[in-house]
Amino acid sequence: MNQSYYTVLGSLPHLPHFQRAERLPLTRLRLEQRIGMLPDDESRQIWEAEALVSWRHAVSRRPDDDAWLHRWRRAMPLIRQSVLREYVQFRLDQQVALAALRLRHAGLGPETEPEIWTVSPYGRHIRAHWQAPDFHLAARHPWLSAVRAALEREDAVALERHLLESCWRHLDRLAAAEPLGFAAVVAFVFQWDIINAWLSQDPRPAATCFERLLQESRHVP
Amino acid sequence: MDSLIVTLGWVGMYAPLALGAIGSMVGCARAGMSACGALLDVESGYGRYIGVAAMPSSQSIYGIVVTMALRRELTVDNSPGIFGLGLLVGLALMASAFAQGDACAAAINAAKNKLEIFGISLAPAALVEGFAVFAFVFALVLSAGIPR
Repeated sequence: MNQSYYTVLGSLPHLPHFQRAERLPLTRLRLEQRIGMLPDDESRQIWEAEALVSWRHAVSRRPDDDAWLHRWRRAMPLIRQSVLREYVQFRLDQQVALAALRLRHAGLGPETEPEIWTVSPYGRHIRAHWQAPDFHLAARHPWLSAVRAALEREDAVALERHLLESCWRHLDRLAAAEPLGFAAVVAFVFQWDIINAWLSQDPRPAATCFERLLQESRHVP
Repeated sequence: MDSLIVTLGWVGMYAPLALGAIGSMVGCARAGMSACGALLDVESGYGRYIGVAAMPSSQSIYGIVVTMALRRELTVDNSPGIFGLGLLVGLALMASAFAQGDACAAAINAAKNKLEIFGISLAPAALVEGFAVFAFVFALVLSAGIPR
């Protein structure tokens, strides 16, 4: 067993639940430094996975983005740690299920975005059970019902909160299985990412940014 | 055959010390690495974390004492008993040192984030120590029954 996990985990601060966090307990730079104490191969795998399924990247990504699909095909063989692959697959399954819910909510069919069904083993299942409320996946993905309800209410904040909460719990379970090992490091990195995403949704900076853009547009010569 | 039995007696006599020392090395290394990581994240109280990391060293001391208690002229009559007792207590000491290293690492991780739980966070490590003491004490008691 790699002993460097003890040093890395010892150097990481406690992460509060994302809804209780008031600020990031660690900057991105510090996080990269601490994860850099792992063997190169393991830290590289973490960042490959993070680039694929982080919330920061999810904001600016379209699910049918060819560049992202190309990156996914290139990155998956490089992510060899089983715990990391499991989390990446969980996030991809989640994104595919969410894309399906959104398409159905918009009155579209599964043939609209044929590429996205390839990234998850549930793709075929979802297409086969398109009309079922939770695609017959609620037993395996209990968050699906709450997310569907939020989508139907068009409550974007609740939808985001349910998605983040399901990921947070999944990561808690991963860390509990190996509290002083690689799984705990992976859980920390992605829970840090969740806090980062949640805090970046603060409406005050968004309002300031909107105001600045508005001022700039008014002063275009 | 006799020489094999006596050889096993030597293995059993030295096993508590060797296995206890291996356990202490790994246990102290795990807790020590966790303490070193904690030093990056705290501003003060460095000594207490390094001190906790030394807890799994006690298994080496127990191993030394048991080895000294088992020390005698080895014969075909006493070697099997020394082998059985020494090997089993050595394994118990080694496993307890591994477990205590993990318990200390967890205590360090918890206490650096919430200093007021520093004392209670060491309770699991102390419990593990208790089991090592059981193995140690009963090894001494039983060693008295092995023929000299």
